Amino acid sequence: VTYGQYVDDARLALLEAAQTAVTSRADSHRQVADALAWRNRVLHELDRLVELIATGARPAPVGQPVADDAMTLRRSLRWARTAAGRTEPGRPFALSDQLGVAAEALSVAGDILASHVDPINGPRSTEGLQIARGAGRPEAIVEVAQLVMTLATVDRRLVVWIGGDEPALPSPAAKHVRALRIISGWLATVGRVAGIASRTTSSKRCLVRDLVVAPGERDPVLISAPVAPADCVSVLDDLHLWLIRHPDQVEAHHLAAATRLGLLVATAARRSRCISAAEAAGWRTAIQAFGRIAAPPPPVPDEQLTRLDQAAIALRSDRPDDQTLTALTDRLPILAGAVRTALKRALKRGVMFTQDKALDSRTRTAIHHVITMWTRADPTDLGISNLLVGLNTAIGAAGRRSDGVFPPLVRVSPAGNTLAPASPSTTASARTWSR
Amino acid sequence: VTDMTYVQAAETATHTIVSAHAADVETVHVALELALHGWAWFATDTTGPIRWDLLGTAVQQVAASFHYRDPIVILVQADADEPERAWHATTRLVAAVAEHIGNYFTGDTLPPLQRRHWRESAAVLRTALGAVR
Repeated sequence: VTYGQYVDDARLALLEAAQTAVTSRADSHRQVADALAWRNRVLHELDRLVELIATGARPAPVGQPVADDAMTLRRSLRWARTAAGRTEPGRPFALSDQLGVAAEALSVAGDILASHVDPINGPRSTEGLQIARGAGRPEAIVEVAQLVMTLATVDRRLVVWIGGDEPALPSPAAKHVRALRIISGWLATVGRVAGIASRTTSSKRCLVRDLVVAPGERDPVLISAPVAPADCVSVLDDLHLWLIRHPDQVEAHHLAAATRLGLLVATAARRSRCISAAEAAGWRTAIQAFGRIAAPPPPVPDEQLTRLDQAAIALRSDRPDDQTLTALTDRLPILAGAVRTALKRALKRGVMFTQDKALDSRTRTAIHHVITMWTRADPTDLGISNLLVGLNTAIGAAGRRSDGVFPPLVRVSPAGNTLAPASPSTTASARTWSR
Repeated sequence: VTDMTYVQAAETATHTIVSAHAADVETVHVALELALHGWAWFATDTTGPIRWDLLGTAVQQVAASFHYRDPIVILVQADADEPERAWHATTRLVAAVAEHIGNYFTGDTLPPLQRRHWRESAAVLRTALGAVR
């Protein structure tokens, strides 16, 4: 069960409580105290949710006022809490029960969130890492604000119960009158929360809503090397050097991860109209060619691959700022060239494998298994040639993007450790080779 | 070419995965290959390729874990589907796969490295779904 489902349960319980508060009346001070106590518990759980969602959030740049919203919400929620109320065993009372259900559901939702973001020791999962960087936060904050507004509906009825024209009890207890003053004062200021609740977010679905409880164990590799979109520039630079300096270590999964990263950079650039559709399509062709190339993950964690995969997650989750995007986009043709060169060397080393397949006789379903042998690849194989066509398309489109000022490719000396600008003929010779 | 469209195949796979009560490697593999097929077929310039690319790269990253198995060729009538319906069927399929991997591929009986690999795989899919929704 996801965080979002528990939050939905809480919302439903609060809506039922609001309805119950309108249609029923308390008949004892104990029931009022009970309702106030559970109301306080709901406020406490909402406050906890906001704290967890905004863990690590700082006053943010324009357009992402998560920290400001969180502060507004937490101030409001703390103001709303009263000292009055204590749960006591007694006759079942629908309003208290419903507020209790909401509080419990919010408590579990908070536990799920805490299992990922861990405000004390730092994120424990990939999702927690992304939330800590801001993914899904605005939507989650708006959702909590909407819950607060639903609770305010319950509070309006509580005010009537305690001190309205027709109070539920003829002589309210002094502590309930004090609670009444606090709740009334809070309701008068809840407009700021309403402003947050009415904010339009990109989508109701968000990363936070899909969370299920994280496993107990922390992933040290994942947590020790977090990557944000701004870090992807150095990831690409490091990758470029590594591909050139360590051609003997390059495997198909490195090339796949590098090409995937190239497409994600192209996707981000395409969103901002920085590159042509043809350039993005070239990267797409290249990465989809890996459908015919064997690129299983390594049996043991690979530092280079982990970093590339983390960079891919970062680019999927966050949009890079303009400066980062420019730097990344500028590196696209260089990346394509480096992957192409590394592919050529990997083919010579015989570490690339492609499918050699024939349909078997099981044709009664839509999905046909094939008898497969992974065979050593050569440049004429369909997967390899598609990969090269895609990379060449991306490089060609990038050349047109920069009005003919093609970013210098890097050529490797025979020793494999010297970098020098490539001659203009490098691209042409590679194209010839690809055919 | 069979009578089944892409959307029908995706919905069938989703239903099978959601109904499973134990690790179903076969169907998860089929589902991921199917989603990759959807990406290859529907991610054209007129159908909003960005969201397909965000999801497709994540699916491909996870599908690589199945390269030790026999690859799958999928023959469906993809041209019979509307891109929008195909997209929604794909997100439902990938969400089901992510949940299935998280529930059944990360048990205590697996070696820690494998457990971690599948945890990360589920996280990759969920993060991509969060990005495209």
